[in-house]
Amino acid sequence: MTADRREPVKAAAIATGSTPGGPAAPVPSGHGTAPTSRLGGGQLIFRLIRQREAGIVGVGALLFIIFSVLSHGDFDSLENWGGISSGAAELGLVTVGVSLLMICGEFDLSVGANFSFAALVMATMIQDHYPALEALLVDLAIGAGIGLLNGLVTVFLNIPSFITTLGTFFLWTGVTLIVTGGETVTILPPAPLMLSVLGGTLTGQIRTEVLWWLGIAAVAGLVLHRTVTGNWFYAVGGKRSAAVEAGVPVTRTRILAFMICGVLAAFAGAVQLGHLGSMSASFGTTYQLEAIAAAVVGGTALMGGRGSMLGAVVGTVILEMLDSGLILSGVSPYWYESVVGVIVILAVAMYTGLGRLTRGGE
Amino acid sequence: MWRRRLTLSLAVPAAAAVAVAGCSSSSSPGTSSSSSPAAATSSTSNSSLGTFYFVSHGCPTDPFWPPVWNGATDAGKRLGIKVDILHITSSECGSTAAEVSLLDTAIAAHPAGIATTVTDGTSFSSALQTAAKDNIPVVVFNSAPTASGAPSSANPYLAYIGQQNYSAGEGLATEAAKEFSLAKGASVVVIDHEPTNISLTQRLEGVKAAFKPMGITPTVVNTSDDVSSGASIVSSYLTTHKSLDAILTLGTTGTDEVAEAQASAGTHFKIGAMDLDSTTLSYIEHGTVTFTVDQQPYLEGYLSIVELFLDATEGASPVSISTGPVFLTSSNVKALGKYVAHTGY
Repeated sequence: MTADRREPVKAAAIATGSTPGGPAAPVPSGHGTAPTSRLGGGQLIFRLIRQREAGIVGVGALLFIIFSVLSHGDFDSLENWGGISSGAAELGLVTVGVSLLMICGEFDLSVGANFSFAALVMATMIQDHYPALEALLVDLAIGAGIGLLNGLVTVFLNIPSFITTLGTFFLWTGVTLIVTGGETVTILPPAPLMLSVLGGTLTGQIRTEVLWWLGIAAVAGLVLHRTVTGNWFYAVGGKRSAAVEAGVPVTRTRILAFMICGVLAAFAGAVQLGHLGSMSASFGTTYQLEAIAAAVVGGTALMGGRGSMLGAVVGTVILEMLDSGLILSGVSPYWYESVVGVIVILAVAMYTGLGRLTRGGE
Repeated sequence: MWRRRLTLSLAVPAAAAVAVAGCSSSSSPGTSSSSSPAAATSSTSNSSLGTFYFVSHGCPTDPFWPPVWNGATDAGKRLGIKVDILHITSSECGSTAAEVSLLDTAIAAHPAGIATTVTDGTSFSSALQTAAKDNIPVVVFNSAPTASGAPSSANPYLAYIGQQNYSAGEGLATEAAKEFSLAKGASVVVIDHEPTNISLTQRLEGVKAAFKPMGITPTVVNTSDDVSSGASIVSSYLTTHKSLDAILTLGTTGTDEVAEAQASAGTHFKIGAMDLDSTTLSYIEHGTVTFTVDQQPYLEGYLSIVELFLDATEGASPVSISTGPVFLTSSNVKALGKYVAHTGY
């Protein structure tokens, strides 16, 4: 492992170089500022488009306007955004972890099972009068442990993470049912303060969980775009052989990404427990696919090496907006899944198109 | 505030519409059982009332739910009001957060009324309290936070329309004891196909409580909401327990599992079921299943909307209604054929 520490700056340079001209090359990194001086006026526009998120932020804004108009003002009410932001925070926390992992070129289909299992243990502990902080720490430790297991199995047994985590998805879903007998665990009031801190009402309909989500996304964004570790994530997900040659600690980075993803899925479960006051084996089931969809809509490349936290946040908001927006616009919610499907495909088509455009322009 | 928008001119035709609906509900050929439960935007002579939202945790692929949605849709059509059916998507089955989010959206629309299911004691509290604060009338159907269906300060709503699961469970046990002449110490098995579901747990508690004074302690076999894997669990159980006095189920999925397991075992067992769908109906007609306990899901949907409508137009206070238990055996199930075809079982 000593070799891993060698020349991190060079590793970072490789990381940037591994996606030449790619729209999400981590240019903002302190190590990659040199090319800026070479940009001319026309190239500046490309540089803007290069921010893969620009397009999707535009799509989000457009949807917001359409829904606001069609719903005659119900959609853009603070009350409605209370509901949207709660859903977005819970999905969003999972998506932050899933995006980080996807940037590394890996998947985690076990996030939903992790979400329910960890939060159920936490809920049961609170019900049994353990201190809430202790219960939260156990929740996070379970998440980290599940992530570690995913990482170790994937890396050392050399199994594609899609398969590993498909397996652990079934494993933890089963364990959850065995442990709880499948019952919903409800924490009746008065609930400990910790639950209000995690998911209680902040002001009006807005909940604290939104702050957790945006705060954690911001920190993850800073790490990703401004630190050497962040560059390792891109490097590992980009051209892995180049990353190895450059001395990027590939194994350690991959396992770290799995663990972060696991912790965030478990934390999302804790936050939803704070919001709803109850938890069951089935509460997390929606997240594994929705989180991947949100990450992809937000510009994370399916095969790794590209993506950003801004994209993860915007992708999540778009998915969460759709449901409520369709209902308030008077469209049958039966359309929701179809619309999500179309948006995922259109988003990826847009990124592919933008990628070609920017490469052609350089 | 919503009451102030109402005028007498609205209320009079409204009352007439209810009277007509009341007379014709059993014979109206107007609606077909295959009508889509979504987009229930039919004739809207009372459309100025605004939208009524009908929110549920029903999985779109679960055959239990179409009669509920059809009931609400039919009521909306007959009353000339706009009823929007909101349900979770098939990928969200089992997610309470998804249903709460639908409820939040419905509240944000400041509708004329909301009917919703409440599947646990805490998840819906915040939304229900917001609705109460905003003076949005809310009735709960099918699943209530308490076994009795009563609202509380934590979960405020106007009425519960549905079956009390506990008493349905008691009914299942008493009816089984009568139909199968169960005596003290009888060996009875209860199939629980969805141990995560609080409604089934409440039913099970009712079954156990009713059997207790009879000196019967039922064995519970947990299966799965997937019929084929559940049936194989039941099959394994039946191969080692051939002399059962009765098998009871807690829902249509469990009934399907028992019927399939019995067919492969080749032995005839005495089966008492819970809930009704077209398959259970044919089981009863063919004698595979002796009786079932019906909660009349169509009425849960229909009456919820009627109560909200009368509240909006007449200011009538919604009252809780027990839609079951109703016992169906081969002797009375034939008469139900038309109702079953109409409601979309």
